[in-house]
Amino acid sequence: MITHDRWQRIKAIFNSAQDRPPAERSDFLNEVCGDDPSVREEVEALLTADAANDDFLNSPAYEFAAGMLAGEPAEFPAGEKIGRFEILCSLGAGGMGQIYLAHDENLGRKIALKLIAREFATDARRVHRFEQEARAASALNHPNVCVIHDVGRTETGRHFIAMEYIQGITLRDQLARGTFKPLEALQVALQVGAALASAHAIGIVHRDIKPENIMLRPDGYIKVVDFGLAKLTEALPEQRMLADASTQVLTEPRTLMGTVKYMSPEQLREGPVDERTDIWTLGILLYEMLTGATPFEARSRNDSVASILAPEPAQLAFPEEIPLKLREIVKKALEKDCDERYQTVLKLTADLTSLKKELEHSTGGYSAIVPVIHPSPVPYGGERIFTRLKTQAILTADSLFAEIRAHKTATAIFAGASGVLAFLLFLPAAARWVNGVFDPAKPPDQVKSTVPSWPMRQFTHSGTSVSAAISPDGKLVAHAEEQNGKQRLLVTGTATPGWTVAVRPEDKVKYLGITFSRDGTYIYFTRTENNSAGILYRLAWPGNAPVQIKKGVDSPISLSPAGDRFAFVRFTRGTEYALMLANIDGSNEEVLATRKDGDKLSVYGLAWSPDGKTVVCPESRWKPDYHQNLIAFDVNNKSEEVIGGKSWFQILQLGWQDDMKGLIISANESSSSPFSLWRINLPDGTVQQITSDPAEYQGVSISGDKIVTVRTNLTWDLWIATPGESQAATHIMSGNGVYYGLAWTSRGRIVYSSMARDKLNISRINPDGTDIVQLTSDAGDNYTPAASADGRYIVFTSSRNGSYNIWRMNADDGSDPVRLTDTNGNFYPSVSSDNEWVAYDNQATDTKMSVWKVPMRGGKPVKIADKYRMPVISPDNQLVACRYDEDSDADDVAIFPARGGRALRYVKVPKQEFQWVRWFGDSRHLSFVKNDNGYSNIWSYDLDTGAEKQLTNFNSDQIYSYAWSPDYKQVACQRGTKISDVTIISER
Amino acid sequence: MATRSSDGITQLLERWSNGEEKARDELMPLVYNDLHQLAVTYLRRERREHTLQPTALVNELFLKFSEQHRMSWQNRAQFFGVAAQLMRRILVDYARAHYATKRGGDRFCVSLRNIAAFGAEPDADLLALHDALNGLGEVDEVQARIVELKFFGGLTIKEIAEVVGISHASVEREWKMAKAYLKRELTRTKKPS
Repeated sequence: MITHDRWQRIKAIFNSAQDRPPAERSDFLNEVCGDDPSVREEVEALLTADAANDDFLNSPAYEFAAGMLAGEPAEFPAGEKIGRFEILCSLGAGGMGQIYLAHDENLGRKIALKLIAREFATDARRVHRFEQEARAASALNHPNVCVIHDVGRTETGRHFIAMEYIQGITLRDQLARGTFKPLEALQVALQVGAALASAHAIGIVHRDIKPENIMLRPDGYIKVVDFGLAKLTEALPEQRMLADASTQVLTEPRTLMGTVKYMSPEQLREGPVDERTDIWTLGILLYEMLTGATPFEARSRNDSVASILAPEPAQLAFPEEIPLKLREIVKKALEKDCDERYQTVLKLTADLTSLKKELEHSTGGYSAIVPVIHPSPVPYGGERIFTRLKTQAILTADSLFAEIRAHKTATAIFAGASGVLAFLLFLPAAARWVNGVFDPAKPPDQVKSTVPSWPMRQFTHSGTSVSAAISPDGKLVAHAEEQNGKQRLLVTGTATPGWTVAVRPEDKVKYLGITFSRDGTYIYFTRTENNSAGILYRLAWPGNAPVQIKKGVDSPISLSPAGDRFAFVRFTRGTEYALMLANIDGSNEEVLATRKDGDKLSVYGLAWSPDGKTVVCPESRWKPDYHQNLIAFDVNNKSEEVIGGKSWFQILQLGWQDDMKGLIISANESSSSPFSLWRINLPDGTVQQITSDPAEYQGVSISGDKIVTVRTNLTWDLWIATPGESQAATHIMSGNGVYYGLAWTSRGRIVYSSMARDKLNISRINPDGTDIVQLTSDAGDNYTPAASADGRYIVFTSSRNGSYNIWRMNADDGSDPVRLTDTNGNFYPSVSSDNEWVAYDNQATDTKMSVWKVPMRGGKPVKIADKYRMPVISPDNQLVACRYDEDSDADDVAIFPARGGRALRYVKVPKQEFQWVRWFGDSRHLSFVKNDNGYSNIWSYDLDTGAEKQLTNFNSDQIYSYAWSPDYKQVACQRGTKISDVTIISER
Repeated sequence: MATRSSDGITQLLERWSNGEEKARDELMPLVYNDLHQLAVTYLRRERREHTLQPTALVNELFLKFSEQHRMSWQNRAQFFGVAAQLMRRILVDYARAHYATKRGGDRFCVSLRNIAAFGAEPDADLLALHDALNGLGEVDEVQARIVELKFFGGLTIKEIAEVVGISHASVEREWKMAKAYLKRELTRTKKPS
């Protein structure tokens, strides 16, 4: 017990020390406590405790005790209603509060409800930061991230997070069952890495990755939970600045025992934390999965802290069988100095991926990580968490869709994928066929239903698949992958474990279609080589060289039932599309049907019926609006018949079911809906939707009850780049699905078009990523925004009146929309620098493009040029730069006088689909997008010297749109990635 | 209109504030209901205003008693002192009961975590603080009282200066040291489980 005198002495010294600057305190204490080291110790301890400057006792007791006083139960019983949530059962205690399985009335489904314990929510600033972060995290749309549906407060003031309910076990549970094999650990780490990368891309660092926050689902999916939650426990920036780093760690009561071993050195020092902290923790996880222990385990917490903070590298001890390369990766992730570590998760996962490929190669196939879980009952509704063990990553369509819908709800502004836009942007051959003419969405003209729950299985994992076909016996899948602008052809077995052979190496070719021969011995493939017309080959694999069968095959082929003939479509530029038949060796070709004058036959797929009588091929027509139908062409008498009453916007591939009771097609209903799989029931023509998520399903190949397709997920990011400064690009936002068109107003705002509630809508955002305002809503699709030089107006294309017209609205809030054109098919507006008129192109009436201009105030449009599109007016108002009609092969941009007349000159810049050029302020330079090695950058073209110069420094992704800042010093780029994998869907 | 029981409360409060300890025990169950109601209101308001308002519960208690129960306090300060003590008693008693149910009375560990010093077990932390505050009171009565007024009473430094009758700067100084001391004590009492 401390005596009164001693207390008074300590108090006096403490108070005097308080009056001195920290640097002088040590000398002062030496001086006054010279005779009694224990007093000095006491005072120092008090000074240290005082220096932490936290919220200790700063809020009155009743704030945290209010819940207790109000008689709130420690746990909510089943059936209890908390606002719109009805508690179903408790799922256990999480780090910051109890988690319940609950039914959400708004969402109409089960969710996991985390009620944050009151004591974590007493500091308003922290709560604010947490809410901000959680809202940001709720925009994360990634299959490996647990979706946050909602963040808010209950009626009694409890903070809650409503999130995706994940049926599974934690990585901690799985670790308790033993260590992981290298490949298994890689699979987990790669999925966690993918989740982190998506979060880092929007500036969210998880900060609290640990086995408890990683869920393993029985289907092999890994989900990372609690993004954003670390904000509740973290020191505020000002506290970090004031804290003394060396003493803070050991006295700060903030850190929980047990989590220290996952903390990075910089986190323990309470310094600024960035994505490299997550990289550190991922390293710890890898180590723990491989060895069963964490690298900094010690007898006490303080010893752990000390060894993490020590400058010496971690002492890592791996079991013998761990490959050297994997050890190196872990070591690099666990560099004490974060500058020595992997700098981005993507770099780490790139190494993991290449190692994984090596390991798979050496073990002859991949093994999916499947948690070994025994069925265990959950206390609600008699449901069992795991009804069966699965040997591969199988997604049931049900769970997948639930998940995707969940994503959609959570990210209402950006969810969805746009059908034809994605299609136009990603299918290279599309341009010559569709010409970018869109039709307004039409209501489905026939009753359709959704097929419930067809099991779905992701079959390839490269993310780069372009097309696929399954062998008639269902044992093999031939598929093409694209990397760096080159494609290769692979064959993979469908049995487990699968194996893969590359049957054609990487080359500058594009595979249009792949078809197995009826007996499975040959693979027929059509491909273009250096933008040639399509060439059909036959390949007896493995090991043999392909044999060229026929040139002028511009579509996939479909074999007759006997396999002795094949059907295909030939496109002759400027003249016609022909549906052809030929013998299997290419001889004896005959024309079954033709289309011209704008009507077209699809070059994406056709299907010879199992009874041999008809070939079904989609056709497109312009009248009354652009649409497609399925046509059955009779092989013998060449008669034609429309199948089903439903019109489509676009049909890609199709296949017959063996019994001829159904046709499976990949198609979309409107320009802004994704390609889904559908079944057309025959003979009545009714339609069932098989897939209904925002992913694109491109391709149909059928064997028995299996449908092979390519499933594509699109993600995009908005970057601001500063040409001239290497690597100077800032990420400002990201989302899912394609968005289309970008402008930078003279008022300093970036205007873009993206999917919002299943339609393309125009929004604006500040270049620092703040202040997002949606400018259009409930008015059809709205895209290709252009800004007027005075910053007052946005001019854009809108389908709100049922046709595609040019409109203008106020740039700040989207008010006062005014329609400027009344002909259909008007796109790509550009505003003159005197704000007097708008140039645009007209694509609707026929296949000939034309460029027009119309006064900004409204009035009669005047034609400027034929055969051109995408006009862009020069800043001096004298010139209009246009792209050639896409049907032509020309790389040329033509420059016209703005007043009209013949082209003044042509400029050869690479043809890049759906990319218009931009002017620089001097009206003497153009910028354009150039695609090299599978990724794109912005280049400039000097009109006087013809010199080209690379301006941006990206080394991944495609640039879909870009816009220069008003001073031309910065450029906003919309860059995207698509993840495409072969997926097998089984019919129920 | 004052009811019979609230007349009782007034008298009990006055008796207790005059040093009659027995009055407190009679007072507790009577005040508890009011406090409970206030806590519920407090939580609702917190939600409505979407911000944590440091409105002192005791202030409301004071208003309530002075207006409804025609109390004749010499000043607000006197009441605050009593109310803070009362709050401490109520919270500690409540925590003790709560904690005992949860742990079967077996107290083994105090976990101090982040925010405002109180962690997943506010009851255990509160009891530890109560003990440490008793310890402080034995060597420095003024500091202990300041803590009681500040933390349990929710008073501002200025109000405390009024109640205790010392300068604003002195209250700051004492409060600073008391906080450091308690924090150190609480960290020190942490025992392995």
